[in-house]
Amino acid sequence: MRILPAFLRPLAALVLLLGLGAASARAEDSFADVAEKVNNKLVKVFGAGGFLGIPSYGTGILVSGDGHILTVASQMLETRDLRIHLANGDRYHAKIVAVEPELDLAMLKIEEKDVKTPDFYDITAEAQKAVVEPGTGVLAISNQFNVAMRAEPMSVQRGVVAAYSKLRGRRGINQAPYDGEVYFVDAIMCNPGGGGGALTTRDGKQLLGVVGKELRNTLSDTWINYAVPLQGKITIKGEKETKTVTVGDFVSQAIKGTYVTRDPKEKKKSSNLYTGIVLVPNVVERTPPYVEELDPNSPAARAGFKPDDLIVYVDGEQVVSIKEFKDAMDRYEPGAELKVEVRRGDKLSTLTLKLEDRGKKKP
Amino acid sequence: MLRRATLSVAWLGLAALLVPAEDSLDDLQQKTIKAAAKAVAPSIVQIETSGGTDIVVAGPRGVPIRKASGPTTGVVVGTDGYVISSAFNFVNKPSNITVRVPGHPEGYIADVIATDKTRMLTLLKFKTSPVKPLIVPAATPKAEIRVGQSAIALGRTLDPNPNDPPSVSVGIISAIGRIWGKALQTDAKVAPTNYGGPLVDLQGRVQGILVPLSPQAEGETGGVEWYDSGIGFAVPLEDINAVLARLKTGTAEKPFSLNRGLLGISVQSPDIYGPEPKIATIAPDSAAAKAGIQINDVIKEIDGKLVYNQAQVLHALGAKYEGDIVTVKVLRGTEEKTFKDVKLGSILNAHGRPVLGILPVRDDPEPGVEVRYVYPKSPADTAGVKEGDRITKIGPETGALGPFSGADGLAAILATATPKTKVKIEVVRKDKKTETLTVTLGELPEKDAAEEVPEKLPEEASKKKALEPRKPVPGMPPMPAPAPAPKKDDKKVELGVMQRKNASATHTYWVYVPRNYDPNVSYALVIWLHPVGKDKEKDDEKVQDDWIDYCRSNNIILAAPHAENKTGWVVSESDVIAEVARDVMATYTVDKRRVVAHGMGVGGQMAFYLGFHNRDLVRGVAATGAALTNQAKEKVPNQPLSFYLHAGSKDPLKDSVVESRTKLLEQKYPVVYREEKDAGHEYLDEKALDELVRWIDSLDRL
Amino acid sequence: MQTRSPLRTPVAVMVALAGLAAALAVVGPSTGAEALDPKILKMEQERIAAIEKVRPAVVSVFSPGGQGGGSGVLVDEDGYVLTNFHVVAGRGAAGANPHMQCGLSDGVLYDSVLVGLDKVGDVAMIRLLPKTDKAGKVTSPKGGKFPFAKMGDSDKVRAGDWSMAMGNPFLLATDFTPTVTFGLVSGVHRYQYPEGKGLLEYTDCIQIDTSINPGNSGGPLFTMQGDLIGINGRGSFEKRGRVNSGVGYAISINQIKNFEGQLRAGIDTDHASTGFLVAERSEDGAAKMTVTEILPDCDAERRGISSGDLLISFAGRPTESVNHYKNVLGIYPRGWRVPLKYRHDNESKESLVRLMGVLRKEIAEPGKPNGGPQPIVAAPPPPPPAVAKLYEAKPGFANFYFNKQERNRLLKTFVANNGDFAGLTGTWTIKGDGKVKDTAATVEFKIAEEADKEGKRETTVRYSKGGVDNLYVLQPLKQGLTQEDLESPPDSGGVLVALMHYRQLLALGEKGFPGDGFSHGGSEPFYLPTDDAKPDYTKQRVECEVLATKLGSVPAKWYFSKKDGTLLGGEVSLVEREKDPCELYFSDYKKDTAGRNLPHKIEVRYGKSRFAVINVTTFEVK
Repeated sequence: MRILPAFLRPLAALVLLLGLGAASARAEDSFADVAEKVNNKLVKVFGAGGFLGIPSYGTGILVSGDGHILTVASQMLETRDLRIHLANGDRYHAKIVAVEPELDLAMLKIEEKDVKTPDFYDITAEAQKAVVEPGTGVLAISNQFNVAMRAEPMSVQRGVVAAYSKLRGRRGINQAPYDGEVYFVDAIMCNPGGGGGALTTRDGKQLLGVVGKELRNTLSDTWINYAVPLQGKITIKGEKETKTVTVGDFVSQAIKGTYVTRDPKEKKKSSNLYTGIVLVPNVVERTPPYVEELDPNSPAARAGFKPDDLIVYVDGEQVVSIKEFKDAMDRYEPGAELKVEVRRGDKLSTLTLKLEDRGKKKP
Repeated sequence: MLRRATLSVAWLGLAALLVPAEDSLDDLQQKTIKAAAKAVAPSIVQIETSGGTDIVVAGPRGVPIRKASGPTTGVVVGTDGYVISSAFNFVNKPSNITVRVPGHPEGYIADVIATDKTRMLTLLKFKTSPVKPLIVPAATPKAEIRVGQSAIALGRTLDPNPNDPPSVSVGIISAIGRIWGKALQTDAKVAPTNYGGPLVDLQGRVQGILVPLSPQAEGETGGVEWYDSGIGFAVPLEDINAVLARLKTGTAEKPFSLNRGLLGISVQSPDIYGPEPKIATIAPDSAAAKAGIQINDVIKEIDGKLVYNQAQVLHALGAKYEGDIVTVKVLRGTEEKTFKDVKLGSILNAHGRPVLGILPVRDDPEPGVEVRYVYPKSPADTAGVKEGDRITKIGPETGALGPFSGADGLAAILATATPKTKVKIEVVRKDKKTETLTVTLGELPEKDAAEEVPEKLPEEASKKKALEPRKPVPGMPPMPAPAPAPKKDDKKVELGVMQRKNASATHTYWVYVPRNYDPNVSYALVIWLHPVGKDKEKDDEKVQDDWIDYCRSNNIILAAPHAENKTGWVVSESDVIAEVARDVMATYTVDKRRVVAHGMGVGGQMAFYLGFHNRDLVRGVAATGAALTNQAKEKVPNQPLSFYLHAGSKDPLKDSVVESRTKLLEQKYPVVYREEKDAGHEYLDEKALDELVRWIDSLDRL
Repeated sequence: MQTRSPLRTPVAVMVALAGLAAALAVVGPSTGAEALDPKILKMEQERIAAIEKVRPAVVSVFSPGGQGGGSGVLVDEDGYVLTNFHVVAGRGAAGANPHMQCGLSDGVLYDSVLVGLDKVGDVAMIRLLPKTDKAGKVTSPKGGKFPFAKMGDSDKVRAGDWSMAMGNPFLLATDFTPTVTFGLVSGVHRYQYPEGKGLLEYTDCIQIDTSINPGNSGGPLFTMQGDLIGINGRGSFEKRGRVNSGVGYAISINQIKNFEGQLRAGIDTDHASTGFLVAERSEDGAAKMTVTEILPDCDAERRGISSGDLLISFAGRPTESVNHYKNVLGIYPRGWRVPLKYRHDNESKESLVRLMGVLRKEIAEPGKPNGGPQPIVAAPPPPPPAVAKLYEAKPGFANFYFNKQERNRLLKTFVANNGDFAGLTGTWTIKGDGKVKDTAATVEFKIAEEADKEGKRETTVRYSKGGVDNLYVLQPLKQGLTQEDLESPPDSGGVLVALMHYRQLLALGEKGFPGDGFSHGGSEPFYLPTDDAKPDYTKQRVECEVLATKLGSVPAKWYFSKKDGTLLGGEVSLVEREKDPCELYFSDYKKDTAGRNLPHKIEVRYGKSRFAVINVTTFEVK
């Protein structure tokens, strides 16, 4: 698999297309040319790992002409001997310049002086483009399973956007710090080493997102395939102000060298809500959220809750267990007003609950 | 840099002029896919459940899966609040079901009113009528479905908002008439995220409803282990519509269940692609029995379609429901016989096993059966049969008594009898007096009577003449083939613990044969299937500690194959296990009526599988901390199968184990269930083990 | 599209219309559903048509007993099927089941017999037996001819092309209709390491996201035009156990083509090794492949390659990484000669290298246990008589029955085109002028049965040069000959022995090589001799079938042109492997009075140099 010099590639493509002319008119399109173009903007990443099931290899996306590489945050990056292979087979050292744990992204840079990487994605420009809807065809390109080395092109997979929705990854072994919107994809792309790969449209003209890590989700308890979209954003609650960071911001600031990597262990401040709802004892993992009793003239009582109501939705989000109900409430501040649907007998009825601060609880 | 720039411009220019036509075709396809998804979207509902058990067991390997917290998918099949979905979505028996319909302001509470147990579909009905009529999608006519045609799988799990477009996976139709003619197959990604959702064609018509299925495993979770693998199934909507009226007759209080139509036969060759389908057994009162089909008939045609192996019989009957009418043509000897209007039965009218309530003395070449033990209050007991009696003849209440040779012979005759009917037996008492007694046959399992295991059994279990040929009996009815004669050169056989490899050297296993082995005594064979996660050596030691004394005192041979990989047993390994068992049986004297598959955890799941798929081999399944992953397969007459289930009261799988017992009883299998107080996922304690050994000793009950 | 000639357009339109018409019949809109764009209908219709075209050639393989199995694909009308070795692996003599059951989409279950094996490449060839009625008349396949798939060119495949996989995943094909899956080629020229004992090494393979699962093994990978480009055999399985995870691998059909001759000849064939090790030198920038170690006395070493040399290309393919090297090495059978470009002291060279095998003798066949406790089970169930008739176990062969078939066919073509030499064990005289070691000379060889002192008749070869009679006389089969005797005349590599073998071959055939020294050796390229200092080996190369002979301890290979069965030459190895063989080249064939075709130019080479070239004036066979 020799990579042709850049100036020859168009000719090669031309020859090939003429050669296949009749064929490609009949069958589905080939994405060979697109795949090759995207591949030239990606790098193979090799770091530490092997332990705890973390692979020691991954994928990265070139985001500047000077060897800046966007990839997923991972323990494998934490090594002195971080290396990358460019599409032409050249091999260099790399270092971490910034990490955003909540976006689960990291920025690397080639260490060697004046290495130029003319083929790259302009993330700021790409992030301007619109989010695509479910059913849109995509290509995923990554070095999953470490099948390619040096100049060998990475794997290309095809699929469609299954959904654009919130990521709800299972906590624990597969940490999913990022919980914003993601592209769910119907291609099995979140494999070892796939993280950091490129998700593009079928014509390769739009970079949609960064292929995610191996992850199980709680919705279906299955392994899922997702990519963090360039439009993805997080809100960081600092002591003083709360700021919003997009993938675009992270990339541009990280390239400038101005992005401040935070301590991932920063806790959100615990909420201090009061509803007045007393739920049935939480005996098993999935005890449904039945209302046992209500504090008199508490917010819930005023909202019209009754004992034996079963809480089904909070602001349209399903809550199947007491735990999920509590998790849902944690997302609100005192003073918030939310729509709660409860099952009472054979009907669902919608109640409006206004949250209060536990401090102001009447005696 | 300048050079680069110009080049890349040229490159883009060239690319642009090279590919426009191609691009447009792919774009066009994507537009078509989105349009199709949008067309069906209003009929795709989001189902949320709460309550029910947390853990269910999936797959032939019985991997426990947590019931996921996310919503599932269903498809409207009635404007007035009917929704069809996958039975998988309700496997944990939720107490509350709510359905959200696109464009409807509020959700609806719904009940399960029917289940199609052949295709694992569930029909829901809203408790209150919808505020506006629901939209029923168009079905793609089956005749138009071709292999290779695009297929789009849609679901509502990933996006919480039912008014958003459904989740999409695109593939093709991979095959039709799969799972014995019941399902379409697609390589679109099918998973819990869209089970119950529709498989849609490019014109926005519903080809089928997505369900997990597997040709080996029936039940809600069969085939789940294949999710997202490119192997997905959908039941054609056209087929569902055909039975919808029947499904709608169900109610929340009395859910309707649609069962598989059974002919009630088993064929001789275990190889489904093997020789012509020659009938080995016929269940009493079954459709086949009523029609007058006989053992040794060879099935030639079903509904006018030629069949020349078991697989084709399964294809011809697999899609049928109970009550369906079929025409069967058989070859009896040299003459062809055609049976019209054969009405297929269902498991519901299956019988238990007819029994007298005795244990025979083993390894006895004399004609008839000497009674070793009489179950208290059993039919035999009530009729006055005593230990030490020899039963010499048996026959219908009115009519001649016939002789039989040994316990096998008696078992074969009982297998063709009907429980609760009267038979006459001739017994020779200890004092050589001959009496004729009338016995009302009992039924195993007794209706909701707890299955009992004898407290104490007479030591003397064997005449120790296993190697002697059986005395011929005049005018004896045809008998099933006798056990392969054990090797005569018993001097040579090894004893004690032996480490071995199977023939193709893929698996290692060990066998324990008691030092006091006597080839003239038939031994019970216990096949131990180890759990996972535990290190092999440790497990082997523990099992040997627990069992070796019992093996000596109760004439038991222990065989313990090792799974190929740590992650546990896989279905295909059942061949190896059976091979191991047969090897042992070829070398030592083994009682074919007391071959037991015994396992813990995933090993226990394997024991269930082995029991159901090696009927000719396994007579008992003893599983601890393991649950039946699918529906229990139908019984096979004269190949009795009994179960001993054991679980710790704190075992997370306990509920599933209890449910397994119910499933087995539904199928009229004798089941012993023992729950250990305050135990978790642990092996049997001494008391339980003691009972298990007695259970094994009593497996040859008649 | 400006790049297409306008002439094509009307055709395209017609195709489109035809497609549309057909498509409407198939997936036409029915009431309630909106009509589809004609272009989409056409695409659907073409995919369906492509599948229907090749589906009849797809095989569902079941091991006897119905449990276990895989897939396969028919590659000719005689019922020859390609599948994976690991699908047929079992208890047979060669570590494979002689008998499998194979279902086709016509719903019929056929018996099959093992033909050939490539265990390292994980390929097996089996043959389906037509179904016959009691009268022995073929009932299926229809017309007695099996449907089969056309082999494509897997080197034309690119990552990003669409592909179709067909087969029997999870043994779902209970009615023998294959599962069809559809997806992209994710990568080409992939390398996947061997398992266990060095078997099942996937070199130069095709990576696909087309989902393949356990049971797809041995099944075909097609282009969207239905060309066979690979045999699916492997997947990267991960945390979920053995279900597809988006990464499958297919053995490229071009690799299999290299082994096809060996497979059809019933050989238990082996892959190639060079005798040297290479490593990537230079950390950064482009990699360079350097020879680190080389076995003494291996062919590569004799060709002048030494450690430190840079490997430039192998069989015409550049080798820039370890994977490149392993890929290109992996697609050739043992014993082939391929041109190798390398750089030695900054001078680039090219030479033909004879490839050695990879399987050491010690490697036990996977079907059999190696050491450890022995199984207590006897042999597998015997195959049905119809299969047993076509099966002959023999060490080194998957099924020697097919080797004999191929061997006899080869000899028949030879006799047909070159005349019959059977029984001509009298005196053979080859006389002519030419060059011996580059000096002009007249040369005569005489081969005859002569009595020695004890009166015992021995085949005797006499060599006369430049009027000096009987310069060398040799009785090759006589006891107690020294190496020097055998290799005489010096620098010929043993031309006298070689010519005696030549006469045995033509005059006696199988009888000339007692003790199974006579078998078909599969296919190999043969390179015509040239004096060109920088030869273009692709021009010299002729595709040949090989006859392998062995007389005593001396093996020989004889090369018959695939085109017309002409005997182009042979290699006789007095000392196997450690030394070069004596190479004979026959050309300028002329008919003798009896109409027998005899070479009138004979060239003898040994190692790097030519020993002699003779323009034959008299060639007598009696």
